[in-house]
Amino acid sequence: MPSSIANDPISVLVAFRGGTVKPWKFRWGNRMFEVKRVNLIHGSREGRSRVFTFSCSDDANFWKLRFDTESLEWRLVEYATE
Amino acid sequence: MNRVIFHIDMNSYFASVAQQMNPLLRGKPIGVGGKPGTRGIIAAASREAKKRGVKTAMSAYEALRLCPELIIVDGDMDAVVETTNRFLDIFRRYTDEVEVFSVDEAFLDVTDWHERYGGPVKMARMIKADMRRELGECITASIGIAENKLLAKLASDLQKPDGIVVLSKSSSSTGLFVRIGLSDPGVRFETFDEITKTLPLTELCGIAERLRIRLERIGITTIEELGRAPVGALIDEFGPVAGTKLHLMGNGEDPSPVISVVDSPKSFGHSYTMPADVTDREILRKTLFALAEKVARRMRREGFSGRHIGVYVRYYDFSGTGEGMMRKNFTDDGLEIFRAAWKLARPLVGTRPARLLGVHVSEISHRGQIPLFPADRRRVALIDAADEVNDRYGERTVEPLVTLGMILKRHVSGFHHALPVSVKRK
Repeated sequence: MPSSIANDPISVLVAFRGGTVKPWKFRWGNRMFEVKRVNLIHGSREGRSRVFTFSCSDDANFWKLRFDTESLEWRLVEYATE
Repeated sequence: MNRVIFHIDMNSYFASVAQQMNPLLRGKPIGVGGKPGTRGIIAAASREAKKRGVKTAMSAYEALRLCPELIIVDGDMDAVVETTNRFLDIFRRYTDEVEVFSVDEAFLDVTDWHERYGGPVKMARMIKADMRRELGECITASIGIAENKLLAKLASDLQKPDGIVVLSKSSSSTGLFVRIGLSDPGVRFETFDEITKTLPLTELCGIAERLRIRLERIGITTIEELGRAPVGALIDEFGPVAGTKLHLMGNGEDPSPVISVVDSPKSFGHSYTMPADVTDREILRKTLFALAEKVARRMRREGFSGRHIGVYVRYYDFSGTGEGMMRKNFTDDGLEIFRAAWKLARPLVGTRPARLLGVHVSEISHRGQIPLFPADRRRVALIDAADEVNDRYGERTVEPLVTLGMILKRHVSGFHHALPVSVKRK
């Protein structure tokens, strides 16, 4: 299942646990999704902006959520479904 | 005292990072890179794909022919680089002597440190446990333990994935085996004398196909034969430096240290394989300009300028040619690098289809003084201003009109110097 690229703004509820922040639930369009696992978190730079990418999943879906620390904006940038 | 060296080699690295990110890819044959229908190559294959015969550097067409279910994914280089920096951080918690050998492998000199962890094997297990906890279950490594880098690298190749192999020079040597003990479940113990009876020469790090052919010409076809060959005969054939090194390699010896601090760069360069063979000079000119801009930007970021400009063209039939010239003055200006490079490249292109273009700058010096003439000062101010905008808002926010819209796809490369992997510099 090849993943699809997106660049959609999303609303995210996060959990602060053990000194780290992890996405917990997010709203994409009219649907709410619950993140079961955060598989990898990586950072990168876009200009002076530090961007964090959270590779998340539940049992049937994969999502890549991107948080821009400059604009404080969350976007869904990639997704795949079983 | 004998040294204790680890070679830690990540298994199917780019594919493992992709599987770590996306659990839907786990247990499936995947290939990173090489879009179907293009001439791209598979830069890395997952274990499942390797079992089906897919190999690194195989064309996407060939890989899909062997394994029609192969899922081809784009590599996320930011995730790969971050994962590399994280495993290097783990290694540096155990020893300060870590040599970054490529984006997915490193040498560690643990001679002075392994005893505090209960010996080399226990230390290797602790590193693996840290990696699993901090990087995820898909990111595994094979660890070779030996008394030098040559043997450690050979050892890590002997058990993949996720192995620990201790390789001693010989069963009679008083080195590693005595200190480690010969029975440790889950760990493979081998001796160089034994394995070299069956392993081909190219298993030794530093012997590639061309060297193998030269060795074969003088009657050496196995590692064992290389070890038995008189050092004088090797020196006669390969010269004093390479001949002596080959003699040592054949006997499982390698005095080279683990180099944890690297020298300043000696050159800067970029090359690009075009999506299709090109004869159109205008496309090649624009591509060269974009490459020159990339080289110059990297030089300025690292505070260097250079005065030897070189170009390389690889043609459709994989033959290639290059030219170089020495400038009077040092430069870090993409336009100046391009002008010199195009002067060199122009006679080389346009008649035969080219598949790859490269430009490099050597004779490097730290960035020089502010120019004397007002026109040159204005040019430097313009470049500095453009750099500031690009630093602030991201690469190519401001760029020359001629390269506007040109996309040079980022390489999926194993070379750590091509990626922002954390290395210590002098």
